[in-house]
Amino acid sequence: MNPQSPLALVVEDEPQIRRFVCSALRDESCRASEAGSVTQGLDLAARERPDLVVLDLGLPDRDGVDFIRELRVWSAVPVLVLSARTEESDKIAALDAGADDYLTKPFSVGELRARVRAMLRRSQMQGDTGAGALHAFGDVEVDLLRRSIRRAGVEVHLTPLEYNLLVQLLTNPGRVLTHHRLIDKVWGPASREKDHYLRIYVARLRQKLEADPARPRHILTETGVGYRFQLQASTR
Amino acid sequence: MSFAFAPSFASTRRVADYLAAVAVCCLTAAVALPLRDHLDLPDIVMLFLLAVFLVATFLGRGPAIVASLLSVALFDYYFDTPHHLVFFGDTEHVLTFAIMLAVGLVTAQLVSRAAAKADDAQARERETRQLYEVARDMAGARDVTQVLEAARRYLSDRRLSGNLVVAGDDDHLTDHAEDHPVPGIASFPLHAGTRVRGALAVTPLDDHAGLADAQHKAVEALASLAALALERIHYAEAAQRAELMVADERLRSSVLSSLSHDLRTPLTTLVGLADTLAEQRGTLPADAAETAGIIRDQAQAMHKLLSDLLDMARLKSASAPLRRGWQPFEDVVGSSLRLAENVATDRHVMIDLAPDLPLIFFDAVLIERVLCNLLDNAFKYARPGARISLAARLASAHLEVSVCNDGSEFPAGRIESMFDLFVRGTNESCIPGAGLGLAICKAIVEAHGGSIWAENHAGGACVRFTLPCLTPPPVAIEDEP
Repeated sequence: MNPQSPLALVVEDEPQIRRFVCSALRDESCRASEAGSVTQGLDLAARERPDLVVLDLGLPDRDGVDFIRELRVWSAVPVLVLSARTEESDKIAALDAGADDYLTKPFSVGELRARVRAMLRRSQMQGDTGAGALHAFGDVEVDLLRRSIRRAGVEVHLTPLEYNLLVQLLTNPGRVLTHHRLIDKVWGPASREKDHYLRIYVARLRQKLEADPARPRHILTETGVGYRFQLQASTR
Repeated sequence: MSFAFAPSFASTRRVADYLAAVAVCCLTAAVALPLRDHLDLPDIVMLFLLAVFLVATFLGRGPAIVASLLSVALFDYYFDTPHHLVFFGDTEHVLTFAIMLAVGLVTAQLVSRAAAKADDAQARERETRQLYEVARDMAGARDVTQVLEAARRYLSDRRLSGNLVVAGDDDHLTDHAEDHPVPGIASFPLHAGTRVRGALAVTPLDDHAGLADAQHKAVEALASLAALALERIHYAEAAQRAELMVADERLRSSVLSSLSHDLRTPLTTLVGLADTLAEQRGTLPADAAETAGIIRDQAQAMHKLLSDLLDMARLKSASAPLRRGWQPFEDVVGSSLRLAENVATDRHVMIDLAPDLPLIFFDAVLIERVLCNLLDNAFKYARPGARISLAARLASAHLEVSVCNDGSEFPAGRIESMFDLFVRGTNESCIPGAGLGLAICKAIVEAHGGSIWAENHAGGACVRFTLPCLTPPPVAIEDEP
């Protein structure tokens, strides 16, 4: 395999799962290195500087959330969490600690490859040009520099809070943003109990920017967890 | 003969008392006679008065009267001058007799009253001691039987027998003993705290005349003690039950979460490996890749079943709190459609949401589950090309949501049982499923305080559910620019 191809670190204690995850990664032309525990994973991450981490939350030595916290101290590498737990609180803890996305077990290989592809593309884009001031999704064009939003060529007016929320979504495309994180960034950490404000403002943004607000294609709900902004409308 | 013994014993004692009174008077005269020339008459009268006083104190009223009479007679006969005259001639001695009689009577009266008081005090002390003992026994009682035993011990000291009627949690005993008295049985309600815990029924052992006033009071005291004891036992049992339930819940949720983890891991492997194989269409023979695809689908179906079972178990246990939040209903509709329509490209749902729906207070994850299950069912059982619709509108104080298709009705007579566990619309159906979906929907909706029902409507099948509309928190929205 080409040494220039991206390196993915798979931290998962179940060898059979590691096996097909690595196989899927190789199909996405990644090199894969494997770790079976948090300690081993952190060690490998420090030594090999991977471009992507696929992390299981239920590891034998320590909690996967600890892994993310320690990794985030010195690395911004995208982290995809695999969770056997359906409890939303575990996913939220991992995302708040700094994970970028999650998959709930069992997942199909297709889903895994799509997520990996999107994450690699994102980190590559950010590496190349940074976030940039111009964004376009659907029939909407946003110029962050001039604070102008146009939908099908027509100017759309947003309130300051709506605009701030949109900026948070736009600058984190593809990432799952938890309710807490969005409220912290838009309303400030003192407003955590104002959960319903976030939901109302998301609904208002959809009214203004989505073609069919009841069937959003870009501002997606991750039920019980948060929201995800999808630049390209897809079936998923 | 034994029954004659008590009265004859008493009369013997009384005769002895009188004889003793006579003896005391004679003794006084015998003592006073030699001193007759050295003492004044009033002194001798005093001696006799002392005798009468002593007789009245120790022997009672009758002997005191006899002693007064005898004393005056003896005094008159032996001491008054001239000696040995027939007595009661002088008015002077009538007065002496009257005083002696009065002293005797008053003394006897005082003594008998004091004795009665002493008896009374003793009886009260005994009563208090018994009440204390029964209170102690009841305080230590661990169950209703021990309370009853203590009550019976106390009652049998009073020649009464009794029984306890204990009210269950759902019984509502009222004070109707007074309305419907049963002859021979006195009923005492056991009032404790906020409710009547039961009743104490009491019957006299020897006759059927009913309870004396003192007995009535004693039994009332007993009833209040029993009520307290029953109340305490009730709460102790409730606390123990609650403790057991908590332990039970903890065990159940730990079993559930380890089951969930241990079963999901091999299923994840199965789905992932089969999927990997199925994806290698180029290198595998076509039917092998197809087989791998079937294995994947079956493993996924198994996972769905497992999740449903675990969710059902979790919903049925008290330890699953709802994570409710205020949110627009539209939000959860969007995410549910994304999941439901994603399964196959030909799936399409018509949406009809009333404008300006208020914020609803619900657990989004669970209501998404309900919507997905209902949409899945609608697609699964609809004829090809049927239109599936999802509508939400306000109906009085509820949000009413309905998922309908237009073409295949629910089988008649099955509509009621459809929401029960493991019940399916058509028993011999070749459509996969275990009959858990609607049962889960029902559990979720009911946990939210809503209701769910199915009906046939205009030739199609509809499932409708409601969520209560509560008063949303105040929202201050900025003005539009």
